[in-house]
Amino acid sequence: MSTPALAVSGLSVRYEGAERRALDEVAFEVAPGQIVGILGPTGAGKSTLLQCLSGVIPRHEDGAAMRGDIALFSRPLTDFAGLSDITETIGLVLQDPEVQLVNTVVREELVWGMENRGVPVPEIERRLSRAAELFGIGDLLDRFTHALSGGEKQRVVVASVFCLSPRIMLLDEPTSELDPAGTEGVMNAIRVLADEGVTVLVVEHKVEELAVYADRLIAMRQGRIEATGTPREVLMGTAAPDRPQVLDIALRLRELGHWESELPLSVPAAVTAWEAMTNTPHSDRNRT
Amino acid sequence: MSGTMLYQPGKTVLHRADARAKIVAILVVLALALTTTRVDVLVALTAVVVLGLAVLARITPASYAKALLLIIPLVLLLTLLQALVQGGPAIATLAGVPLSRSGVLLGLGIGMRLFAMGICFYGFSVTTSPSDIALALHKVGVPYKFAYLTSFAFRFLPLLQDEAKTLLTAMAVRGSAESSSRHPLRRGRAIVRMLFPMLAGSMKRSSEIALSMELRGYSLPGPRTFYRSATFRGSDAALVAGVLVLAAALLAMQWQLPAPFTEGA
Repeated sequence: MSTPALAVSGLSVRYEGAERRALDEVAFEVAPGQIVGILGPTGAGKSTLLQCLSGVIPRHEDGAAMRGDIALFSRPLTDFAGLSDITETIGLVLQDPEVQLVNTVVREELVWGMENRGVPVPEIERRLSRAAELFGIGDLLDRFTHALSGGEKQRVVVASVFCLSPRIMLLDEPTSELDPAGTEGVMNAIRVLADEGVTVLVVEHKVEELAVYADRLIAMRQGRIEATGTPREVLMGTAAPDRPQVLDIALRLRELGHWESELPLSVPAAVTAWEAMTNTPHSDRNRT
Repeated sequence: MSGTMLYQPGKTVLHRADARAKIVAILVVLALALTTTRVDVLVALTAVVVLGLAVLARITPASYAKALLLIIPLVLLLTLLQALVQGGPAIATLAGVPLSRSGVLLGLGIGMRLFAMGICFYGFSVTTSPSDIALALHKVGVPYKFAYLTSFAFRFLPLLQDEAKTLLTAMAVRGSAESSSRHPLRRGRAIVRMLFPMLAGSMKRSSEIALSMELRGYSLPGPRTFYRSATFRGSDAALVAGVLVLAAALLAMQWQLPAPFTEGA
């Protein structure tokens, strides 16, 4: 692997008064331009991991004891002067969009971070129109942030971090309030960013989406990494905290002897495989 | 949330005016209102402010009448207190207690002062974008980090209101009749009960908001750029000049005309 975008080793965190570690000897590397999905049940340590990677722990969280090493493009996280300095490289989207909207109008929300960084106005305009197009928020630019729906807020928050042009984006459940179309829109935008070289770590419960969009998955449980690998490797293994329903159905069909081809991770893949197996295009069956 | 005091975008003269010109106008109105208690001058000032907002910003009294109604009990209380504590001839008696004529006039004057200032602030906040206020303050020398906080306050108000609404709903769905009561005293009791969780929630939120701001470079020391620009145009100078002329006219009124309602007037 070339210089990893992120390198984590021996990372452990214990919150004050907690019985067990929130993170326990976590170690992994992520190559530039990869989308890494982080899966796990509540309390697995997913959000804590993102907060460590972005420097929020321990710099902004007094009650957490952290040890271990984190490097962004080979530069140790401890070398960065402060949280603002780290965020030149990393963009973090927190779980609750409400607390991340700090301006009254969407347009101001998107440009505010760029203004703080001293980005020249022509470049601000370029990134603003790109974000509006990529996240489908062009019609929201002049709306009040407090008047947006939950899903719109989430898209604006992700877009505002995108506008900062970070080399690594950490997204904590960025689609939790989005409908299927909105989720697909955000995941497509993430794919475009990754294709342009941005490294993305995304904590997500929608395993069907991660199976399609992620290059790699990390499955966590009780602060430990249980499995890591391609979506197929992780989701087919026993450590997967959850599996796409379509995969479960295909597995059951295989047990019953009705599924011979490769097990699908998504509905479109299942339809294609089924058509190939039955030699019947989906559209033809609809007609009969 | 609707937030009647929040900025409402528009293209009127006041919406387009530079925030600095509007701040000067507000300061002049405040100075005028605070330097006199003469009811006639304050009525004239309030009338000009109401007329100015209607003509320059198309803001009719109907849009702020509700807020004014909330001030009326305060004005009545002030007037009653002044009428009881001020000396001089009585205008009437209340349960055998004489009400001072000058006290009543003073109370009404203070009430008119509140009306004038309140309407003026309302006009300013609904026609001026919070970021324009921050930019204007920064342009007159306030460091951006402090100037921005004025803008942020306008964002925080809807958050608090939403939090309060959520808590009242949560209380109502768990059988609290007070939280959905229309009776002001019962409703007031529900609001008092809601205050502590609301403050606790606000404290937690403010910490998370501070983190979000930090993550977007709020505390970076380097030079900052400004996407929006503030230009002080001829029309802004005209607005300031107009307000100064108004101030001069009202001062002349105060000095040249005898105060009405006084003994022998």
